[in-house]
Amino acid sequence: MRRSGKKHNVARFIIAILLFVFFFGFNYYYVVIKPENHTVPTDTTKDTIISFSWWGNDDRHLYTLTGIDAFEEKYPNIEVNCSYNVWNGYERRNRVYMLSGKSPDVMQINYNWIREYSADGSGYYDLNKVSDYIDLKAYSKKDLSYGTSNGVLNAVPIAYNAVVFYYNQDILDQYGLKVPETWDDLFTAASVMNKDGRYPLHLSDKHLFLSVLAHYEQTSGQTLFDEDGKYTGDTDTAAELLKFYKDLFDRQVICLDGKSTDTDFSNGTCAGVGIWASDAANYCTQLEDKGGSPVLSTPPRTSDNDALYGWYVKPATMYAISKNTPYPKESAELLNFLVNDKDMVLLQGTEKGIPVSSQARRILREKDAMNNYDAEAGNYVYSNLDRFETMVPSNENSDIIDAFCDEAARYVYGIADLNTCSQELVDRWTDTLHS
Amino acid sequence: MDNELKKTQLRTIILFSTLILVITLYIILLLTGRSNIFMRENAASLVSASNRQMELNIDSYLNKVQKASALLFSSNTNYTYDSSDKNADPYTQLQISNQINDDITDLSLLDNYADFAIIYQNDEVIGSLSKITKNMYANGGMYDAFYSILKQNDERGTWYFGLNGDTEHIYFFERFNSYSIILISFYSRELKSVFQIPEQLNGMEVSLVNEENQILYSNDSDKIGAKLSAATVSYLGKLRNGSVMSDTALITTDECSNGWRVVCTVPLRLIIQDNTRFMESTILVILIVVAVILIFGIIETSRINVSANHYVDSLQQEAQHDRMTGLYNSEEFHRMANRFIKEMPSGRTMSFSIFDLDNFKSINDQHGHLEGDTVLRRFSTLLSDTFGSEFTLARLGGDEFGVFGCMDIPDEESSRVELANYLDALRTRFNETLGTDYSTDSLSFCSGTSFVHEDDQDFEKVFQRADKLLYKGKKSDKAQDYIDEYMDGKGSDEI
Repeated sequence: MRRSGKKHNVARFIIAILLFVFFFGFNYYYVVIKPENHTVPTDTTKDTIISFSWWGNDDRHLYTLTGIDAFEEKYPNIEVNCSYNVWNGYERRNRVYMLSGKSPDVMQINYNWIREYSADGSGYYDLNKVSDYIDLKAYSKKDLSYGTSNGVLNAVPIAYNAVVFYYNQDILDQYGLKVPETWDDLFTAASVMNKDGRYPLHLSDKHLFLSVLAHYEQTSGQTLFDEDGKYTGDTDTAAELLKFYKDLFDRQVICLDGKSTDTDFSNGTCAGVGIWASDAANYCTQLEDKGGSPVLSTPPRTSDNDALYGWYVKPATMYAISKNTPYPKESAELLNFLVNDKDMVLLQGTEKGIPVSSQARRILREKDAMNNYDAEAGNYVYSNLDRFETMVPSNENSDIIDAFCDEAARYVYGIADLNTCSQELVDRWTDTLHS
Repeated sequence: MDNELKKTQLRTIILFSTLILVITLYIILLLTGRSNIFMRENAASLVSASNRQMELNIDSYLNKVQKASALLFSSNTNYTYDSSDKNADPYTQLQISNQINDDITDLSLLDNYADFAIIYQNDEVIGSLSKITKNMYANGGMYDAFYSILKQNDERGTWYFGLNGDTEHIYFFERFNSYSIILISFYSRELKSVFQIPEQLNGMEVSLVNEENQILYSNDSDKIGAKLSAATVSYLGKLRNGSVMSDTALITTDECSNGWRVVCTVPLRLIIQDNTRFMESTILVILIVVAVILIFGIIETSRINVSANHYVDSLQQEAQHDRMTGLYNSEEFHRMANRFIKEMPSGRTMSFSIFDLDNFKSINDQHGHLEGDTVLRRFSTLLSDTFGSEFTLARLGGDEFGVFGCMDIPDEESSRVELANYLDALRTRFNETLGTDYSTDSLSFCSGTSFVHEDDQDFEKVFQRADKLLYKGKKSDKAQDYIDEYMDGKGSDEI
């Protein structure tokens, strides 16, 4: 009996000790250990910091930055450092990045850069290695072929792009002109509107070069650069290009005197613009806001044949991952977010054109988000994919375009004669393509 | 008595528990209060240091922009270019324009600028102009607007926020030459990296504000473009660099080189939230522990009480009873009898009988005292068996026994008869047992019985009357039972 009482006392004592240990242990955990999770330095919460770069205008910068915020919320352990610029600055920035080996982990690239920086496929990360994190099923084989170099998938296309031409219907109506479809239509338009200080087309340097190139290929039946990027012409070919350029300038189809700006279309100084399809909304919305009526036309041709000979289609822009990235998985997650995530797709809409990703197109269709000028131009490109030529990277090479614009200006302003400028142009192109 | 003891015990336990509770709470409140002050002071130092660091970061960022602008002055050709010069050679103008454009591209090569351009008197733009800025002046007037801003501020360089209501960009204007202005802008959100420092605390709100207290940047992006709260402005007063502690928040301000300020607000509740958590949790634990102590105390006390009661009962038993026979002893019997008499209920008849064994001395002498004790125990058993629990029995001393009855019979004559029956039964049993066993010793007993009268104040008179009747029997033939015949005590009857 007494032994049993002793056992009870020991049990009670043990229970009491356990209770105290539990309460004070709980208290200690709650007060001393757990609070470490509450007061934290902010920048140690991110395990991985990756970088992302792109080019564009305000709209693209702002929606992309908003998208990156959404990505960081979905992936709280990843922080993204952003680097962005307008096209001209970005192209040069990209060159610095690529040549110095310090490119961002994820980057928006231009189609021709794959040829420039990754001819053997080793210039960018092989995306097939991170295909577990990128939904590549949203792309057709042909789509992926644009980003493939030497059998290595270097990039995925965002949208297809081509030069499209918009005109201000009100100005055309004012002069009784039909919507220009041929080069002759443009010269005719110039002849009737020059007296009012108007000219038919505003073209940036690149689009001016592509227009001259298109005219040459349409009239000669020859491509200026072959599929390997080599110049197929000679000095006479260059002279033909320069002469047509001067013709456009002298007959005031275009304006070269430094006063031609991209706002000329919206303020009524010029009747049309040749632009990337992905820029359609930028130009047309401004004109529409001022009461104008933008109208899409086919790129100028020499005749009414069905083919769009001389005009090229390409992936508008592409996303690639740096070959030096220490974070391929996280970079792939970001890349996938940019092309396939619903939030990002809706933020981007058709700003870069009709998305190549079938998943992105489905999201936009469900939200009825393909009804602006970008979508109109994008659909035009999509529906005419077979009529366009596939872009040759040399056509977009900035050194080739710069050389052409420099020599064209020298010729137009009488600094040098046609032969000198033609020869100089061929020499510079040869140097560029050899390097 | 028992209740008093229990109340005293409960009071002691509650007092002890309350004392523990009060002392512990006092210590906790004292330590927590002191710790709160310490934490607030530490947080103020930490926030001040981080605020200063952010101010230096901002200065560095703004200086970088200003330096990029200043570098445009490095080329004399660029500096003297006038886009509105009608007499200039157009090719040369185009070349210079391209060169300036190239220089701007180089200067902004690795930075995220929204605008980086030179605006000329004729609104010609060289460089990169964002769509938002361009749209603000779609109908012209850009140069004039920027010139006006510079005139109102400092032509050598002016930072500007809220241009035409825009809250996305932070602008920097600087006069390039007499007919052009440099414009650089970046997105406000670019400052996110500038404001990201390791010492930042959760819940800390960091803002960059201009002279009008408009928020240029905040880690709460919804507040960009809004005004600093009136309460914060009021607390800061004219303070440009330093900290103030409001009732609810710690506010720190540091002035940047261009007059803007980095204002950091940390709610006090966040600073001391761990302490508050500690205090609440510890108080909860202490309350639980005190409750456990209270419950254990009450349980243990009741257990002790049960044990003590048993001991007291045992002592009481020994004090009230005769050890040999187990009947009440004389003292307890007298006390009980007196109590019965005082509390005598109506409709009842009380009696007292005293018994004395005859020739008991010869038992002791002949058979020894142990045998005598046995006789006494057997006689007490006979009494118990005969009178039962209705009567109170006692050994009054030696071979004398007392029986106090309280019969539920109102009339005295019936009581007498009833009592006589009991006595007869006793004598019959005695004769069959003890009387037979000790016949050679002539063992018998006498008794005297007296009823309690209404005028009996205590037991003494009743006892004396019964005692007289007993001795009356003793002096006669022994083995006699005498009962008061008359209730007034004037006579008695032998059975």
